[in-house]
Amino acid sequence: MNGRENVDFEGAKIMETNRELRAHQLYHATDLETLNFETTADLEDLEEVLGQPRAMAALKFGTGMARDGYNIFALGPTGTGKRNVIRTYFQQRAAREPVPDDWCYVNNFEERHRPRTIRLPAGKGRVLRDDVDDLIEGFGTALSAAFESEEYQARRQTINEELQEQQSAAFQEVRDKAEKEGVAMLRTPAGLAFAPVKDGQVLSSEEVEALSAEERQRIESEVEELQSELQKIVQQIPSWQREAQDQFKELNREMAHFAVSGLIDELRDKYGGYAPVVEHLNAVQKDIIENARDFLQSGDEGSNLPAALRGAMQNLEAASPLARRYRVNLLVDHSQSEGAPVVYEDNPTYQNLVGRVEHRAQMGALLTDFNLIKPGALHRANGGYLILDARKVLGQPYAWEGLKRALGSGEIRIDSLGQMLSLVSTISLEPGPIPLDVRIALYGEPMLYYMLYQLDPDFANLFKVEADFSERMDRDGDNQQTYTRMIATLVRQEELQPFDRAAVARVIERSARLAGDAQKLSTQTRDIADLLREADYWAKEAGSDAVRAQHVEQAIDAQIYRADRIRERMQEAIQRDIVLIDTEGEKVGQVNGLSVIMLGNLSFGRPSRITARVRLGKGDVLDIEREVDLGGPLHSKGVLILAGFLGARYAGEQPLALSASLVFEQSYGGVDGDSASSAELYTLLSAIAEVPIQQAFAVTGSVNQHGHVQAIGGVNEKIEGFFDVCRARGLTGEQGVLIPASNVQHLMLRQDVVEAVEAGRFHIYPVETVDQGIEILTGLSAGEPDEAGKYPEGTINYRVEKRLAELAEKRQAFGSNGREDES
Amino acid sequence: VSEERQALNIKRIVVALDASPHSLAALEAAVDLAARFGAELAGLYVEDENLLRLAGLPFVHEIGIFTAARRRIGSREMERQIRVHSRRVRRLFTVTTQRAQVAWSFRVVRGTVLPQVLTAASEADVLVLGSAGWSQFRRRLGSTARGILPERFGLALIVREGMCIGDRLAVVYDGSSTAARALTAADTFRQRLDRDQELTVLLLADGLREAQRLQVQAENRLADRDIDVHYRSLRGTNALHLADVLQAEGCGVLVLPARSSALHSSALVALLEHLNLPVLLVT
Repeated sequence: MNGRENVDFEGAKIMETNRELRAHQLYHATDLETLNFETTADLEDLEEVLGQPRAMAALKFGTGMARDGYNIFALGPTGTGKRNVIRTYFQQRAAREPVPDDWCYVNNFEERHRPRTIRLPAGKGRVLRDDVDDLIEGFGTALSAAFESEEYQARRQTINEELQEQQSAAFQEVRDKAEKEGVAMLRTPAGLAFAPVKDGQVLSSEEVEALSAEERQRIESEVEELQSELQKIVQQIPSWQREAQDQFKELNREMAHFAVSGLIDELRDKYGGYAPVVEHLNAVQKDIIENARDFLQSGDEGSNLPAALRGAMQNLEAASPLARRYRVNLLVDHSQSEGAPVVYEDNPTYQNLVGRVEHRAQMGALLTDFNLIKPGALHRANGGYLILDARKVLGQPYAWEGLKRALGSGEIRIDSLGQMLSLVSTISLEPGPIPLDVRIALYGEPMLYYMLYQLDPDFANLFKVEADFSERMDRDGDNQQTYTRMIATLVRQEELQPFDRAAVARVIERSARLAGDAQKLSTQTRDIADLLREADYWAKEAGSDAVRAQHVEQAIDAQIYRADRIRERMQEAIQRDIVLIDTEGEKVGQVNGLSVIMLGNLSFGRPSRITARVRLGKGDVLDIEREVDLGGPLHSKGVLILAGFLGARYAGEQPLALSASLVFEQSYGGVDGDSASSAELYTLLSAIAEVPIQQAFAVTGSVNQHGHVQAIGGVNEKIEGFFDVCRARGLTGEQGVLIPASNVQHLMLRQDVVEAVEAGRFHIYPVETVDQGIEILTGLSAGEPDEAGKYPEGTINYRVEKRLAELAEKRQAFGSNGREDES
Repeated sequence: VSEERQALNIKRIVVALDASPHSLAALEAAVDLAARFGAELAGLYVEDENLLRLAGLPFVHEIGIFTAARRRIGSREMERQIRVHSRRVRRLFTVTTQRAQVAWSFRVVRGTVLPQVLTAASEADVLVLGSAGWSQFRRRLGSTARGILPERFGLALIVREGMCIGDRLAVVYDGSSTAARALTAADTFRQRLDRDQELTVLLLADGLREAQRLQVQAENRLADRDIDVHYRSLRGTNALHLADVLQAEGCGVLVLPARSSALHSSALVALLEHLNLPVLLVT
């Protein structure tokens, strides 16, 4: 044990002041001299990204690496501005990149359920769509003009008339022939029949009987012949009708061809350079010529629905059947775009990612066509960049799978989810796939990244670039410079009043406190932005024209006050002795430990009483917290390390014949972490040596098997927690906290604590070993072993060793008497 | 003359039905008329005795109108067919009349068609019937319609498939007494169809003088009526010419005297077969 020359006499009061921290060590203030500006208005905007060199290098690599699978996953805690950083970076890059092509879907007349794609240079898609809309309008006028023309009507009527005449003449011929023979052609309810008549009356069977055999014979054969003839005519009617139909069709074709060809030719010339457009126009021409008549709603050939219903349906349909059939569905329109697209999809459902095919309800049935294909974020970002929140993507059913499939196959294929899951069975489409060329950046917490990496075998193939955002940065001269400019940028972005030098310094100090380390700064710009906004608010409330340090201070205090209710309740419980904490006097086997509680945005320290009792036993240290499942594994580990330390140091040559029990008094919610293990060791040593511990102290720090005190987290909160208790009771000048020496660099303590230390009313001791600690707590020397391994009499270690030896002897005595069961 | 000049009182309309397309058009027209005049509409279906007789002849077959199938039908089956047919006609009749909310009755009689129709017509003010029971002969006048031409019983409206009653009336006038009654009928109808419409009087005359004479006569007959009349003279009774004139005048019903010196029956038949509007025959 080095540097302990002042404690080598028995029972000596130790001069702690040598080791006690000075005020300047408790708070690493910003040197105002290093801030060479008056207010933030003097500072330039910060272009680069703050404190993320690693992530930025990854982004640069990921966007530059033009190969499949080099998509980016930005991982980092929330509030580090990942999304903005990525978006800004992408936008800067995208502005220099070419605008990607437009994509359209058009009807596929051969296979209606497989709409075809047309790819056109940026901006051409919209032109084509508008041209085709005009074309369709032209179709409407041209077709109705053609089909309402005198020529068409006349020719149509002629065909009709011809058919009628043909039928009529054929029937008339038979009828006349029958009449000549005294036979009438009669209409029966289901057909036609021939019968001999006389004076307009059909002969009855009796009258026929009465005729001469010859006459009867003649009539019968006549009727027979007429029947055969009529049969032939009736059989021929359908073929006449078919002929007429063919003539109609041919006529319609001729009219339609004449009407539309000129219009289409114009467009075909205009789009001569785009083979798919020309191909489509050819198909349109062929189709409209075949079906032109169907698009004209004429009175005689309307649908057979009742008029009212037909009207209602027409209202439902936004576009005419002509438009629905021939229109161009412009899926991706880059006519207004500059550079490559950067898309952030806020709601990445499956359909919002890969697009969807909508349906229209018509008479209770769901119908769809290529016009109802809607683009997804992948379509919009194709040829550019897409930013997605990983947590949201994973939270949406099938979105992650859909995204992977698109990235894996290199094309966007719109599959209906309902269809995929057999939830709906209705007419659906299989739109042709669109080749995908997009760089994706997912962002999310590190946990998500590591889990995806571990659990999803595709992930590593598709997201090869890991952009790791750090939550803190070094607090050095250069970084401080950058940090002030970042603050200035935020102030301007948020349109706040300028912050003066001291205010900026205070913000930087707060950032270090948020980072939990005097040597670091927080990169969680969200929290900093909040603080700036709130300070600005208080400055305006106070009528100040600039934000000053006191406003920042006020903003911090207000933040804490708003979240402070539970901390206050706990403090109050201690003040009213509901939770028992001693801050003066001395006790054996009792010490003040410190724990940190995190509630939402606020973390605060709280003292807890830790007690130890010892008795004769088998050498085990009983952790009561663990026995009742209130202690976590880390806490248990700490306690087991204690037992290791005790056994090795004091009972190397003899059995450790004690049983000790350790407990966090009045703890009902469970404890974890090993930051109390040094406190537990001190109480244990106190209990074994029966030396009282000064209750004016609180202790934090973990301990290893060699008795070294190790760093813990939340040191600032812990100190402040005990300080608050002591201050409320009145500072005696004796009180203080023992912290691990390695935690000194993390200190960013509250101003009132710093002031109390400066005034000598509160003390903070950095401790490297358990021996140093126990000396401060008990005021006795710990004692170092001599050559024989014996500790000087009167020291703590001596007392501990002696007590343990006594216990071992008693234990042996029991053992030889067979009084204890050694099972 | 005074009787002829009195407005007709139309209280009962009879429509002869056989479910053919022409007869359905007749039914629509009859319902329309009944509604306009507030008259009772009587439907008539004749179970044709000729058909029953025909079924008794062993050598007679029925040829299906669509299938061209040849079937032998016995008397019993024919009876059943007719019964089914009459039920169908009755249903069509009731549905149509109820929609128009006119008073109606429906009667099924057995016998030969023409005499039964004439008997029913004698009890009514207007007879309405389809131009034929056959859709195969589009324009040809059927035997029943032909059969009523020489009879004298009053008014008969003849309707073909696709026709309905228009608001504007034309009447053919040739100076005969039937033509005089035709004028009265035309005026009566005009009042019920559209009283503000002009009445077209087509003067059937050989020469200008004759036409002028007829016009004066007609003017006298219509003198005390509050009516706008438009006169046109017709030279001869060429059906196509008349059809053109009527179309040019935009007429919806033609009132035609069935019995006149100028219009003998073959010309009448030709007219009825070529005109594309309902014709009200004054017999």
